[in-house]
Amino acid sequence: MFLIVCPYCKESRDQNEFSPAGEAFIARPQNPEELSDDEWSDYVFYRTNHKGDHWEQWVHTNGCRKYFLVKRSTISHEILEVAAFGEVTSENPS
Amino acid sequence: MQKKYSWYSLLKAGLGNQEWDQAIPLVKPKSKYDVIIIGGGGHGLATAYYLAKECGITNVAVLEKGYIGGGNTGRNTTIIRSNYLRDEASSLYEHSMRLWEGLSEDLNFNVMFSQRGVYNLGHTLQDMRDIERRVNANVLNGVDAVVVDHKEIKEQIPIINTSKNARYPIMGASFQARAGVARHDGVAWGFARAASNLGVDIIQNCEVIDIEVEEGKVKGVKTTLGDIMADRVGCVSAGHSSVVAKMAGLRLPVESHPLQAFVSEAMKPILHTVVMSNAVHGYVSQSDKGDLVIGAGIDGYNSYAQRGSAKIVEHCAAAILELFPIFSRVRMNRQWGGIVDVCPDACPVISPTKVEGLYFNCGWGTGGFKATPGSGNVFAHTIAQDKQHELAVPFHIDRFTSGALIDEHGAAGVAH
Amino acid sequence: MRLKNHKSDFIDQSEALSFIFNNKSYKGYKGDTLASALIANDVLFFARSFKYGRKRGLMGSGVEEPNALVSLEIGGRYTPNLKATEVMLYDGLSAVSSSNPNSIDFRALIKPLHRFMPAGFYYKTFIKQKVWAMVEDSLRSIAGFSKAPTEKDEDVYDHIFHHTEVLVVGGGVAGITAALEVLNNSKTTRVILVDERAHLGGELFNEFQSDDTAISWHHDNLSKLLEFKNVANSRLKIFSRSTAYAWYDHNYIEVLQTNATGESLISGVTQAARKVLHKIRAKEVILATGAHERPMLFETNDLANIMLSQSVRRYLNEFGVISGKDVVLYGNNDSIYSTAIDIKNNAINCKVIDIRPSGGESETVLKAKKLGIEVLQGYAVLKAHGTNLVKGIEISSVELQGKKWRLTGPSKRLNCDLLASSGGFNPVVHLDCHCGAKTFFDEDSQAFLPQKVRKNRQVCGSISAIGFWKDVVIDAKNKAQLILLSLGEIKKSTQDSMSKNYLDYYNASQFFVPIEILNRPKVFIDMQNDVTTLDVALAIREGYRSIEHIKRYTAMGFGTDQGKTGNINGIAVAAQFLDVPLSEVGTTTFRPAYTGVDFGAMAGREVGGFFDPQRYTTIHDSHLESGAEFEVVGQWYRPWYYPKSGEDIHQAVNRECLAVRTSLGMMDASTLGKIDVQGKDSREFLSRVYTNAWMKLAPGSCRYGLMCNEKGMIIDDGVSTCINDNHFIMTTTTGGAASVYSALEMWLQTEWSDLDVHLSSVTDQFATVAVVGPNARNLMKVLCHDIDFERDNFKFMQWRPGTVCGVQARVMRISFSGELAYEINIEANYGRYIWDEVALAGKPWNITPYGTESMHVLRAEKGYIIVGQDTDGSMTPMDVNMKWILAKDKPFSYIGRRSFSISALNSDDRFQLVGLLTKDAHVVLPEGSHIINNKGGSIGYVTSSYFSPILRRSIAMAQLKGGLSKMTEIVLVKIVQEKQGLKEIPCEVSRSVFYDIEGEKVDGNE
Repeated sequence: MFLIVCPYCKESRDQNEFSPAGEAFIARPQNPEELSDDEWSDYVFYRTNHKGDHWEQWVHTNGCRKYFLVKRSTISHEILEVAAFGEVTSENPS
Repeated sequence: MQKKYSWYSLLKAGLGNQEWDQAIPLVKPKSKYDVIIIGGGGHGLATAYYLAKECGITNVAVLEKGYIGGGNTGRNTTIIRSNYLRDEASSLYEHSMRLWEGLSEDLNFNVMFSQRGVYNLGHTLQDMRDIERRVNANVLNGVDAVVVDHKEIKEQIPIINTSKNARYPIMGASFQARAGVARHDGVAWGFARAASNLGVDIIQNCEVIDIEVEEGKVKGVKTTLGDIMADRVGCVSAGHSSVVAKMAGLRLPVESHPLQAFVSEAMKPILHTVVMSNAVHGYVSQSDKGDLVIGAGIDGYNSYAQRGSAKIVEHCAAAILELFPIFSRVRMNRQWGGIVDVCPDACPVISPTKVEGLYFNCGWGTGGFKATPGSGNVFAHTIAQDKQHELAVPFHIDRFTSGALIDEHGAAGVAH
Repeated sequence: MRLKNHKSDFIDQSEALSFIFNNKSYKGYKGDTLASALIANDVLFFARSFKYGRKRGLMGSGVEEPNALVSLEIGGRYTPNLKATEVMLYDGLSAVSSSNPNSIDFRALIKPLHRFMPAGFYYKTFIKQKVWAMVEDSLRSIAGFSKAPTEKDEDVYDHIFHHTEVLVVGGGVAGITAALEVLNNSKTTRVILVDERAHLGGELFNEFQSDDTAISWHHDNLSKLLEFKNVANSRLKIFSRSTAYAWYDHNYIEVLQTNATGESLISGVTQAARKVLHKIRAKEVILATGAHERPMLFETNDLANIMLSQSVRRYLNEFGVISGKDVVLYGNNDSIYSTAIDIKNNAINCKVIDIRPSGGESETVLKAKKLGIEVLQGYAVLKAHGTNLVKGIEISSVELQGKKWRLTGPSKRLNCDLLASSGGFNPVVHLDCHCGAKTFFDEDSQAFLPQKVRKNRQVCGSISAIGFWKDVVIDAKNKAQLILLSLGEIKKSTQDSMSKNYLDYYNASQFFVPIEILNRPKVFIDMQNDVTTLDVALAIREGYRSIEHIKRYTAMGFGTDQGKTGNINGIAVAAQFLDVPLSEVGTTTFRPAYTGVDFGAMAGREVGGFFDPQRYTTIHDSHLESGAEFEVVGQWYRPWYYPKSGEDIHQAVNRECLAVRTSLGMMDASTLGKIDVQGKDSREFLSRVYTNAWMKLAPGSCRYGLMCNEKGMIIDDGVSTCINDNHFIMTTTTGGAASVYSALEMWLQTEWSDLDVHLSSVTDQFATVAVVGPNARNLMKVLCHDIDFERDNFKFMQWRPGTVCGVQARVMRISFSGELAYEINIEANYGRYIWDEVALAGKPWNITPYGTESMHVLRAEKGYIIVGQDTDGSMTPMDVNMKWILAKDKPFSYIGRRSFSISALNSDDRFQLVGLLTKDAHVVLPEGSHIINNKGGSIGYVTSSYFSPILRRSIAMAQLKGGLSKMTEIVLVKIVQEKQGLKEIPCEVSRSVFYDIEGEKVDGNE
C-alpha cells in the first residue's frame, strides 16, 4: 500500500486514492498512418516492463483527477520521484 | 531408472527394505545441451518432460534460478478448467485438461488432480448472457459445461448465499464437472521427477544472466554456474519473461503484475467444489487439508516483488463473504503474491521469436497453472519441430502485429 | 493446579467464572486465559494432531501454541480454530477441542500403519485417477481442525485509519521504553503502541518474583505512559490485545485488535465491533516484538506436559498455575534456570538438565544451584517416556565436538510429570520481513536476526537477541533516540552502552542436538502437522533440498501456528542433515498474517449492502412505488420492467413496447454517463476520440458518436450535444461512464495538453426523462411553452433550452427506439418532480413507463447496438456494419484508426453483426446460442434476441463470421443445452434493422 505524493495536491496520500495508469513515456506517434504495422504494434502492445526503477503514470482518481509521473522501483516498491506532466524529471523525454 | 511409486514400494520402504530414489537429483550442468529451458516452473518442467517423452530429445537442461516450482506454480490457487470462450483458447485448455486426467499415472506421481467441479457465477443479466454464450461454445467444442440457475447452485452448495437481496445476487452459473484443483507443488515435482527419469538435467540455483545470440541465432546462455551452450532455448519464466527477453534484445507484449491469494486456517470440509465470481472478484475452494484457498485480483501496477496491496485481499475477503457469509469468523492464515505476466488479450504467447532457436512461452496472466501440461506439451513440440504445434499456432507473437488477437476478455472478465 | 497464596496482578480470585470445555464444567478466574484455567483444573489434553491424531497438551502460552486448538460457542458466534492460549476466559464460555482428545480417533487407531505413511505419502499413492477420485473425499473428512461455521456472523467489524509519526510494535520493556523515550523528547511526535497481550509488560512479569526493581520499573513507566495517554488531545494511543499482523509497503501496518473483553462475546449480547482492524501509516516503526522460545528436540517430544520453559514460567508467574509437581527443565541456555528458580520458590520439585557442560556458570546458574536445585550439566534428553502424557525421560551425557554434539555415555532414566524445555529464542522477525527485508543468521546469538539497517525502522529488545531486561531498556532508549533523530526531533542522538555483553544473558549454546537423536522416530518438529526429523531427512534424501521444498514436502509450518516454534528447529535439522551451516539453509519466506485474521475483520463494514455502492437516480422512489423490477448495470439500479399485477416479464415488456410504438412511453435515462466538455478545442477533441466528424456540428444540434480504443475496437457510444462552439455534453453508456471519462482525461492530460479542453463528469448532476412515442410532441407542447416543437423547427438530433413545468431544461430530440422522442434534462433534484409531471400530463395518451428490457427490444427492432452486449471488446465499427461512421478526411488520425488497416481487422472471416430471423416467427432464439457450420462448429452466436410485439415475431442480432456477406442465407442456430430443448433452428441472415427500415417514425405522426 503505497504512499504517494500527488505533485498537484502536494500531499502524501494513500494508494487507495490513486489508480495506476501504465508505463510512462509511451508517446502516441505523431503520424500513425505512416508507421509500419510493427511500429504501430510496438506502440499499442509492447512494453518495457522494466525490472528496477520504472517510470509509470498514476492518476489521482479520488482526488484532483490529475495524471502524473512516478518513478518507482518495481523490486522494492520505493517511490523515487514524482512529477507533473511537463515538469522536468531526472530522465525526461516528455 | 527410478523405482516406481506403488503400494509395494511404500510397504518395502516402511519396513526399511528400500530407500527412495532422489526425485530431483542434484546434477551439475553440462557445457552443452540440445535444448535449454529457462525456468523450472510447472510449464518449463512439463516442456522438458514432453521433449524427452514425446519428441525424443533427452539432452535437455532446465535452468531454475531458485528452487523448482517456486514461482507461480507454487503460488496459485490451483484451479483447473477448460471452459474457455474462444475456440483457440478452449482447444488449448481442453488439450491440457485431457492430459491432467491421466497425469498422475503418466508421471507415476499423484498430483492430486481432483475433479470437484468449478462454478463460474453470474450476477447480472449480462453475466448470464456471457455464461450462456461460453457454455454453448464449450459444448460445441466438446468441453463439458452446463448452465445452472441459482436454485441448482443452492442445492449443490447449500452454504452459498443466493439471497435475492445480496448486493450482487447470484443469478446462475456455468458449471464444468471435470474441472477442479490439483496439488501445485506435486505438479512441479512430478514433472521434474519424470523428466529426470528420462535423462533431463534439472539444475536449481542456476540463474541465467545472459542469452548468447550470434547473427540472429541463439548460441546458449550465461549462468551463475557458467556458460551453457544450446542451439535451442525455450523461455518459460513467467513473471520475468520481459527480463529474459531483454537478454536477447527482445521486447514482449506483456506486463508483470502481482496476483494475490490467501488461505484460511484448516477446517473440516464444508465446500466441496470450486466457486469463482468475476463480478465480485473472488474465487474459492477448500483444499484436502481443509483450508480455504482464495484467489484475489491483480494489482494494476507493474511489480516484480511477490507482494501486493492490502486493499486487494481485503476486498476479496469481502467478496468471499458476499458469497459465503458463514466464513466471517474464519481466519486468514497466510497471504502471498505471485508475479504474473499479462498479455493484452488475456491469452498466452507460445511462439518462436525473431531470434532463431529462441522460443517464448509466456503471458499466461492469471490462467497459467491449469494449462501446465498442455502448455508444456505444445511448447515441447514447437521447440522440437521448430514449428508451432497446431494448437499453439493462434498464440504466435505476431498476432499483436496482425491484429489476430484471441480476446478472452469477454469470457474471462477480471481474472480467471 | 492453581497455587494457593499465589499473588498475581492479573488473576482476580474474587471473581470466579464458570465455563465448559468438551462438555464438562469448570471454574476459572477473571484474568485467566482458557489455557491457564484448564491447567488450574488439571486438564492436560487439549486436542489431537493433524496427521496421526496424537493426543496433545499445551506447549506454549501465547500465539506460538501449536496444539491447543478449540472452537468457541455455537451458531452465529461459533468460532473455529482458536488457540486456548489466546482466548480470555469469560463467564459462560463454551469451548470444544478442534479434535477431541478423549474420543476414539481413526488416525490414532491406524498407528501401526504410520511407519508406512512418511512425508510425501500421498504423492506416492492413489496414483490412478479413478482410485484417487474414490478415496479423496474420505481423506478430506479426516483432515482439518475445527468444524466450519454454519451460520452468518452475528458480529460486526470496524476499520480505523491512523496516521502517526511513530508506531511501536510490542508493549514489553522495549516497547514501553521506546514509546516513552520518544514522547519525552518531543512535544509533537505522535506515538501508537500496540501489544498483543492484555497487559503491557511482556516478559517482564517473569522477573517480578526475583527482582523488585522490575516491579517498580513497571509501575513507574506504566504510570508515565498513562500520563501521556490520559490528557486531552493525547499524542499517545495504546492498543492492547492488538496484533500487528502485516506490514505492507511504505510503512503501512495492519493491526487487529480483539475487543477488550477478548473473545468473550456471549451469544445474544450486542455490543461494539468484535474486532477492529487498525490501519496504521507510520513515519517510523519501532519493532519491539520480542522472541519466541523454541523447544529442544528428542523422541516423543510431543507428549502432553512437555512444554516450553518460558511458558511454564509465565503460567506460574502470571496466572499462578502449573501442570506438574515433579518438573524437569531441559535446555541449552540459562533461561531454564530462571524458570527453575521460580518453580523452586513455589515449593515445587524441579531438576535442570543442561546440555552444556559444566564450567563458566553464570550468576543465574549459581543461584539455582544455591537454592538446592539438582542440576545435570552435559546431558541431553533422548526420549520422553509415557503414553500420551510424559512420565519420565531418558538422558545421556554429551559433548560438543566442533559445532556438533555427540552422545558420550549410556542412557539413564529420570521420572518427571512435567518437562519444560528451551532450545533458545527465535526473534520475532516476521513483521519485519513482510516487505522484503531479509534476516541473517547470527552465529553469536544462534538466531536469525532482522536485517541490520532498514529505512524508517528500528528494532530493540529480544528481537535483537538482547535478553536482560535492564539492557533492553538501554537498547530501546538508544533506538528511540535514532528514531527521534530521523524525525528531526533531536539534532544528535545519545547512545548509552549496555551493562553486559548481550550474549551473556541467555548464554545460549549451539542449538543443534546430537544427530543420533534426530535420527530417532517421532522427534516432532512441527507439532500441529506432525512433521518429524525423519520426514525432513527423507525429504532431503529424495532431493527436496531447498528449505522451501522441505517445508512444502513435509508440510512443516503450514499450520495455524505458522511454525512459530517449529520452523527454525526445522531449518536447523535440515542444516544438520545437509551438513551445511544454518545461514546456507536460510529461512522460508515470512508472509502475513503473523496471526490469523478473521475474514470479517478484513472486510470490515464493506459487507452486505455496503459491499459496493448502490447508485439510484433521483427518480428511484417512483420506480419503487410503481413496483418496478430492477436490473443492476454498473453500480446503478435501473428499472428493468414495470409489471402490473399478474403480469410476467414478457407480458409487461410487450405492453410497454406497444405503448411506445403506438402512443407514448417514458423512461428514466438518468444513468447514462454525461461528460461536460468545455474549451475552445472541444470539437477537435471530440474528433480525436470519436470516429466521425465533429467540426461542423452546429450549436443546437446533437450527433451520435462511436468510440474505439487504439486496437480499433468499439468501447463506447453515445450522443454528444453542441451547446455552443466551446461547449459540448457527451453521453456515454451507463456502465462505461467511469472508464470512458478516465480514458478521455488520460488523453487530454498525457498527450494533448496543448488542447484547451476541460472535462467534468456531470452524470449525477442531471436527471433525464425520455418521452418516447408518436404522441411525444403532443405531450411536450403541454409541458413546455417556450420551445417551438414544430417538426421543422425542432428537428431530430437537435436540442433546445427551455422551461419544462417551470424548471430550466435542455430538451434533446434524440431517439433510441426510432420513435419520435425527447429527452428532458433537468438539474438532478428536479428529476422526481418532472417525472411525476410528465406522468400526469401524459395520462391522456396513456403514457407508460418502461424499463431497460423494453428499451432493449425497441432498440433491437431498430438494430441499434448495445456496446458490451452486441459488441464484446473485439468488434470494430466495420464489424458492426457502421463503416459510415468512420470519417475519412479528418486530419488527426483519431483513436483506433491506424489499427483499421492491419490485416486481421480486414479479414472476410471476422465476426460481423447481422440480424437473424427465425423461420418460425414465434421461436425466440436463446441469447448466447451459437450458429453452426456444416461441421457443427461455431461460426457465431446470438448477442440479442427478443420477441418483437410490434412485428409479432422474434428478432435477433448475432455475431456471425463473415456475416455481412451472408445476407438472406439460411443458417442454423444449434441449441445444445438440454434444458432449452436440443434442436437446430433455421434462421435467415438479415440486416439488423427490423422495424421502420426507412426511418419514418422518428418524426412522429403528423
